This record gives sequence, structure tokens and C-alpha cells, in this order.
Amino acid sequence: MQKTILILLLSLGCLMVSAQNENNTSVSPKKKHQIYLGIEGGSRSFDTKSRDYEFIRAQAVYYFGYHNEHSQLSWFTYAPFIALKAEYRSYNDKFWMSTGLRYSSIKTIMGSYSDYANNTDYFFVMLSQNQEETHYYRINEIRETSQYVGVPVEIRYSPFLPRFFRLYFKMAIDLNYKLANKREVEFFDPAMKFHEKEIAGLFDQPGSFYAAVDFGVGIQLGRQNKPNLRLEGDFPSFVLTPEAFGLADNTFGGGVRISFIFPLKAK
Amino acid sequence: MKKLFILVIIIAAVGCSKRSGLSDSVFIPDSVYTDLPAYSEWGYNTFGANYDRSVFIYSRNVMPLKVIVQNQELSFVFQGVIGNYSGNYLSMKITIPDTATAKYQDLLDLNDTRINLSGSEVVVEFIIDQNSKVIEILEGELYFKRTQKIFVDDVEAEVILSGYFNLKFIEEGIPFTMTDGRFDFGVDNDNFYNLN
Repeated sequence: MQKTILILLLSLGCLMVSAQNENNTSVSPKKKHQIYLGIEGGSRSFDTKSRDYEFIRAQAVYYFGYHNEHSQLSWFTYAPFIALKAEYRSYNDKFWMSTGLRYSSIKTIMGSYSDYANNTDYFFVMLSQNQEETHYYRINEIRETSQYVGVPVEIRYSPFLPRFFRLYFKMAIDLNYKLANKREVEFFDPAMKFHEKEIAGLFDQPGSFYAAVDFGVGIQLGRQNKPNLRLEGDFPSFVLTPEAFGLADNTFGGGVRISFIFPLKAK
Repeated sequence: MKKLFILVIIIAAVGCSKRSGLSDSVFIPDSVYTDLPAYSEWGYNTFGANYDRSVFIYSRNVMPLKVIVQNQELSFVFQGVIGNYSGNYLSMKITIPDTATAKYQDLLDLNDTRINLSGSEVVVEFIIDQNSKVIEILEGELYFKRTQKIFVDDVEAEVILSGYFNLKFIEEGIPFTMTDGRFDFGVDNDNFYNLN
């Protein structure tokens, strides 16, 4: 994983160097205000896969050709984030390199949700077992929230000359460190709440480091050297640290973000 | 773009899952005999065995096991179908002498118990269309590998019987074999009958 991150960082570095070389040969419309500051917010969602937890009782309903053991369970992960970033633009204003500080919160939810009046909204988790007795608990939902602080390294490229409406492409990597983690268990019988810590402890614990690489496309609204608004779609986003997630596996996803940037100083 | 579409579908699918409770049957296929349920100890309410070149397996439409206590006898009625086809029903009733079982919790005593089906005191019957006939057993065994009491939310719910069975028998002059049988049943007041 570390090798992958290194390769991606080197790729980003090469792009930056190539952008700078291009600066030396291109004619820029306005060689001013090459540094921008900005704030961005957005959210990612992932293609969440279940893990093979042996302590979850399967509840699949069998019919021919269909053998999903946990068909009653739904898994979902999303990650809202906010960031403060500084951006450096090449002289021709085609390459935009940015970095900053990002706070993100990754939320994973697994649960059983019934659309039918006769079906159950819970799944069974086995907490303890000895030779004669086995204890199950009915769980509606388990939610995990991990909070991260991270550093994004991004490069954007717009093939078009500066104008009010600009299409651009993006490649980015962000490296995140886990600040805190919270896991909540919602029992079918609320009186079982006192078992929450034991049930939560059955599942894998999330790792302390989370990294992802994003590719995306976006549009920028605004003139050169003026405040700009960006709308951006991230797809695909590849998770480089699958061990970062405790409840489920997330390998790739996508997201949207919006950012507001303004020029800091003129050259 | 296709992956994005799949992702959107996945997200939209949250809340659209099918589910069931403890009393339903859960089929987890065996890794070798894929037509049979894998051996389990979860009370998945399944059983299955290779029956010549077909299978004798539980059916979703009938209670897979009924336990009957009557006249100092204990009977286990495996209710299923031959060949995975609904409608081709077969019940296999295994009766053993017993004086200790009065309630379903007493079945816990069967833990790690082997019953020789060819023993003189054991009766095996096949019931088809409510017609019962006693089967001549050449050899066979019903093995309760594990019995356990299940608590759900700290309340006793049922007893789980898990184990294996196999038998060779003669039916209308022709020998048959039932092998690799396995079962995993939940027993509670719904399928335990004390008729004394």
C-alpha cells in the first residue's frame, strides 16, 4: 500500500514539474494571482461489501440459484468532509495544484430494513456460546463513525484557456489519520442496550490510517484572478487502505464536492 | 459510467432487502454436495441427504422436523421432498424408546448421542401421502452431534439439534442408501408435541 501511495505521489510530482515546464514556454494571459485559498465541502460514498462475520446468523431466503447468506443485511458507507486548501496555479492557468487540511467523517451503517409488514427489521448476532447455551441478540442497526484529519494533494488540469466557465479534470490523493472512532448498536429490544459494548467489540476495529486516490471532473465558474466556484464529481475513488474500515469492506466509490476559492495575492 | 450506475443502484437498494426470522429455513450450500445444506449448528431448520442419485431434503412448505413424545417413545419426523421438487413429499419418522423426554428442553440430553437405526428397538417409517410403512433398515445411524439451548435477548427461545444421519434400507425388495445426511433444527413448542 505504501508503495502505491509513493507511486501516486511521484506521479503527482511529475505532473507538477511538467506543468511548471509548460509555464516556461507558454504565454499566460495574466501572470497574476497565482495562489488561491479555498474552502470545500462534499461527500463520498463507497461500494460497501459485507464481511464474512461468523457470529452473524445467516437469514437468506433460499430459492434456486440464489445463495446469499446475508441477503437481509444492507451495508452503506458515506464520508462527508470539509477542507481548507491553498492552490497554486501554473502561469498558463491550466494546471492547478492544491493541498491543505481536511476533516472527514466516515460513517458505515449495517442493518436490516424491512419493507414488508411481516418481515423482521433485525438480524441475529451471537455474543457468547458454551457447550450448552448460545446467546443471540437482535440488532436493528450498527453504526460506526470514524473521524479523520488529512492532507489532500490534488492536481487539476483544464485544457481550455481562462474563461468564465471551465471544464477540468482532476487526480488526487489524500492521506488521513484517524482521530476518533465511535460505534453504536441499536438493539431490537432497547433493554439490551447494556450489551452494546460487547456486541460492538465483536466486529473488526478500524485501522488508524486511511488513504484514497480520486479521479474526477468538474466545472469552474468565475473569471481568472477572481473568486471562483467549483462543482466537482469524484469517480472513481479507490481506497488504498481497506483495513481502515471496521464494519465492512470499501474498495471504490465516488462523490461530489463543491468549493469556493479566491485569489490570495498578485505576482 | 457503468460502475457509477451500479453504485447508484447499490445506494438506492438500501432498505430493499429480504429477511426472515428464527423459524425460517436458511440454506447454506455444502461445499462438496452443493445440493445439500452445509452442516451447521445455528438452528437453520434444514436437513438433507443423498438418496441414491437424488436428494432427500427439507422443503420450505412443510415443517422440517416434528418431535413427538407418546407412549414412552420419542419420534423425530424429518419432513421434506425427494429430488428437490416440491410436491414429491416424503416424511421419515424415526422412533426410539424414551421415558425421559417430557418437554423440548429435555432434548438437550441427546448431546453427543448416537442412535443405531438398525437396533431392534428403533423403528424407521416412511410416510408418503399419509400412508406409513415401516422400513427394513440394514444399517444406519442418527448422530446428535450437538444440542444447545438458544437465548434471544436473554430469553430462552428454543433448543437446537445438529448432527448427521445415514442409513441403508430395503424398500419393496430393493435396497437404497441415504448418505451424508445432516440436520440443523430449532425445536420449541411449535414443533414439539407431547401426546401423553
